[in-house]
Amino acid sequence: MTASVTSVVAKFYEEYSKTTPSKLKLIDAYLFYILLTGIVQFLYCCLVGTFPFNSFLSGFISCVGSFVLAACLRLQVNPENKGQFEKISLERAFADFIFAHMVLHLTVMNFIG
Amino acid sequence: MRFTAFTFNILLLCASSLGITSFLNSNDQSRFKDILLSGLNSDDAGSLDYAIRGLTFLEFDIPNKDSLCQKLKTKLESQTTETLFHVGKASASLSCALQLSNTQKEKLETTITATNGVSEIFLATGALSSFGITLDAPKVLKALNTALKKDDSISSLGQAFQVASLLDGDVSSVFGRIEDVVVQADQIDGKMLQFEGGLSVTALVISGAYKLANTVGQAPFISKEQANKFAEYFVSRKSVQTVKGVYYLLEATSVLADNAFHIPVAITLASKAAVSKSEPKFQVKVTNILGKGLGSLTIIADSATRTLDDAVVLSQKQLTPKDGLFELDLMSSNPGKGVYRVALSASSSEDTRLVGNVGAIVEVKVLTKIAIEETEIGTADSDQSTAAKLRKIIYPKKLDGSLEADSHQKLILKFLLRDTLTKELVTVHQAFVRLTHRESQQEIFFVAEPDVNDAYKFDLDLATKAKDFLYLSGHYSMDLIIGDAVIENPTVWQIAELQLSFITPSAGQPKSSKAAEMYQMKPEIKHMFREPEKRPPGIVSNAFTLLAIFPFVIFIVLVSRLGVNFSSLSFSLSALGFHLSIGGIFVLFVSFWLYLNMFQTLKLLVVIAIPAFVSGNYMLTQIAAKRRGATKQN
Repeated sequence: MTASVTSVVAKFYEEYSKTTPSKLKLIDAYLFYILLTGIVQFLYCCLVGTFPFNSFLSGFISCVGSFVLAACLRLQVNPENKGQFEKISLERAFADFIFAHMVLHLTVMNFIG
Repeated sequence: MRFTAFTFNILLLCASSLGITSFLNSNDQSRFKDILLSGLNSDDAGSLDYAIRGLTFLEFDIPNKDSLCQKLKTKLESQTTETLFHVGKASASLSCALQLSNTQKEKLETTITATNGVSEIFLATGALSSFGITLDAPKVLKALNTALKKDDSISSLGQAFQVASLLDGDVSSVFGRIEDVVVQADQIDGKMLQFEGGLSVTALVISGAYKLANTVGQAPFISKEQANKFAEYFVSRKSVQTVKGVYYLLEATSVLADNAFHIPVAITLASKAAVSKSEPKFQVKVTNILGKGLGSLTIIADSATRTLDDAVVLSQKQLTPKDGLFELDLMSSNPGKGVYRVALSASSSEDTRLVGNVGAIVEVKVLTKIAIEETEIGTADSDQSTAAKLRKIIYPKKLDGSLEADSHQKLILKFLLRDTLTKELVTVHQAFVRLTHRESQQEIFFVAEPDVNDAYKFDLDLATKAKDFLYLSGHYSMDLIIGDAVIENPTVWQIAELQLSFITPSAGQPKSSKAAEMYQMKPEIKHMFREPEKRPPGIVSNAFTLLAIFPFVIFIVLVSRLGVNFSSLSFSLSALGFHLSIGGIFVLFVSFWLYLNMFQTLKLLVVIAIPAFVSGNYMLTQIAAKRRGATKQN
């Protein structure tokens, strides 16, 4: 049972390394980093309680927001989805990504207290 | 005698309402005198005038007449009609013999025109007449009537009456307006009449109306009831504190005490309000509104009605005059105890002006002595297994020895209350039994209830009431308290000494009385400031901070493993500008967190964002162009 799981995972990893363009891999690495940071924050909150709640929220939402924006960027940049995002060039997607991040971080900085 | 009876019957037929309930007595008048004397020190012509004329009404000898006349003389050249009015009236009252100069006289006479209004006419005519100058009656009357057409408010009409009372000739046009004014009066509580504007307006109108009626020689269109109600209003205002108010009150009441038509009568109780066998008589005083006598009067008590059951105990009994008062022996009619409303009527053989003299009510209490009889006290078993052992006691003696009782027993007290006048058994408002613990002085009260035959019985079951005693056993003294509104001899009778023993229940100790505990010092409340929330220990939070930053390291490692294409990093102006701007925004956000506020941040953000946008746009287009070029090549 576990053998099949590990073989599936290994196969998936192989396919992934081969087929995904490096741009997407970069974004995936970024996503992974954000995910880890979010998990660490959540663990901390579970451990010591929610004081101060606003700080926890802003930090966690920053992680979530960044994750979402990066995921959107990945979608828009993925050559396989080119059909759906014809009007939006890669650079445009990136610019949107940067702009949205500005807004997100302004809000987060305001809320962090 | 027959004539008296005849007049009395006529008066009864007129059935005028109750008279005034009080009058301005000597206390009130001395208070007025003090207020008016303080007004004499004023420099204002109005206050001086009111004070002087008020003191004249009180028939008080005004001190320092010469200095007052001097003060008034200095105001003779005043430009206002009102000052001249007050100076004139005051000097006439003091007999200062001041004279108006011709210029002033002419000025006043020219003021009497319809266009100046009723008030100016009133002041000018009053001033002229008080300096002894005769008035041109037809001219004044014409001006007055024309002015009234424009302004016939209540105070203007009052002033018009005062003016018309000074004129000779036919003033019936003004006299007829009295009726118009009186219907505008407001009734209060069904007992008083006043005009809107209060004391000064009402006094102005009423004194004006009666003065005018005196001049014309005809009774004014004010009914006897209305005259009484106005008088009642004036009496209710006797607590007035201002000089002007006191003057107006005295003017109005002087008119009501002595005019040719209506004299309101005050029939008031002049002795204690309680009569008993030892003091069977009560006295009433019959006066006018200023407290002066009214000549020879016959006072008859029409009826005396008990408030409790409307029983009438006497009718048509004449009161005997004594020392200026009238007294009646109420006890001779054998009234029972209670509160009685005695209706009195005063009639005069000569004076037909009296109003409010029929049916005045005076409340008198008839007291009686109570005798406590057939008192028995004893104990019985709660479960009624044995009969009660009762011992007789006679008031006011105390029971010999002490009575013992414990939780199995009941304490029984029986007694009868008898009215010594009617020899009947009665119930009273208060029949209490008080038990006082000797050492702690703890008291407890119980109520003794009468049964259907008015025999009082007090039954105390010690077991059920033990809680009320707080289970405090020991030596008690027992008192019987009898009280009522209409008995002469309320009593506290120390009946017996008791020895009570209670069984405390298993649950509690016999606490020292709850009262003692209630009044002990309570624990001090210390204010607790809001405690800061518990923080995790520094080590934990620091560790997690590092842990949160650690993924960035992992990211860098991953990126480097993926292989970043550093070669295509161009150092063009736009790229540099873009990266610097983004870095600048990052720094801005950190400083926003640390010390800026939102407004400053937004301002700076706008400043930095513009180059960021411009450079970013330029840079990205360049990259896009390069990419398309590359793909085209492919």
